[in-house]
Amino acid sequence: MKGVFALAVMAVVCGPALSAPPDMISVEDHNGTAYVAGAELARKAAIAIKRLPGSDAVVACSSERCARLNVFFDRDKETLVGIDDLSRVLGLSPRFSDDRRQVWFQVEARSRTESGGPIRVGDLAPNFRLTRLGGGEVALAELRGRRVLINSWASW
Amino acid sequence: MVQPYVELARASFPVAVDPGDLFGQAFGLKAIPVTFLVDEVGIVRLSGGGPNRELLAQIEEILEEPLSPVRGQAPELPWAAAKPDLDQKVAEAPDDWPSRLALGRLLSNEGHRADAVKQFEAAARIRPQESSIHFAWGLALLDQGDKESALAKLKQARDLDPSNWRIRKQIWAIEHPDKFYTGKSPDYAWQKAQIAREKK
Repeated sequence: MKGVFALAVMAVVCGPALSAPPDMISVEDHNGTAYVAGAELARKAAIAIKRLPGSDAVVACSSERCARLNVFFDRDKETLVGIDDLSRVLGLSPRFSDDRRQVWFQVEARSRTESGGPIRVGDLAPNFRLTRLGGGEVALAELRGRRVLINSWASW
Repeated sequence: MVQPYVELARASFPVAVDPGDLFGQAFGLKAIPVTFLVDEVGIVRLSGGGPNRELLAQIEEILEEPLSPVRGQAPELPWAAAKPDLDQKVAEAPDDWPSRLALGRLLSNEGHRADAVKQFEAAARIRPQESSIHFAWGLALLDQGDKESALAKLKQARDLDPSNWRIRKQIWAIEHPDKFYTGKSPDYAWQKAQIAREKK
């Protein structure tokens, strides 16, 4: 009997993608206050913790906004930030595991604020698009991922 | 106009021109020169005057940090919007003066100064006490070669925002061109004296 080339065609059923469980971040307790480490926040929650040189201030920035933190401390080369303080200033809801040793942050919907004031240190830089001398354009948003030094001057 | 200065400084980094004061408004500049450092996330980490030792030390400190994987979105400010979006905003909400101001600046940057002035006029009718509108309007008039009208507008802007030294400098450059455009560099001693005179 000739071999029958049996081709099994598997119907691939594409269902709705299961949303991946959020990355849980380790919680540390110090003097009754719950903290998380800056490095984990960056890796797992897309929140950057940055110092502002020339002052003691520390800012936390999500992808859409920045705010100064009030509850934090340094350990070695790491900054630990208070969970409640972080949540309040960035508009997040902390969701703890049952044993409260891990947490993830849910973003709260927030009303759109008309921000028109001048940009201060610690803010997310607004985009701008200008013509370059010699042709072409430069847009700050396209330089995200790189550190950008801007010097503004005039012929006077 | 800028080219000779760039060549003089033998600048090795990209230079952008901003005749419509888009950057000035976005970053709320009151005086120049000014230096900003924006990190990889998009956060403004430093601001200072011209480069000095302390600023350079702080910049180096930041450059030594490990790169964060976080990327912040650039806030949507009127003056960063593209022209079609601004045209639409202005059509839908004629009282939206920030969008009119941004549109005027874009038009001015593109060389369409008459159209830019129309937007500035409309914005000023809605918000007559806004210095930035009169400043941008004055710059557009200056670009058109109308020095007298430009001066009047710039002085209006100055009086509405007395602590803005960029507006004052622009007025001085028109009224005292000899202190700015002859010789190798502007007469900074004269400027210092003028600041003292105007601070009274």
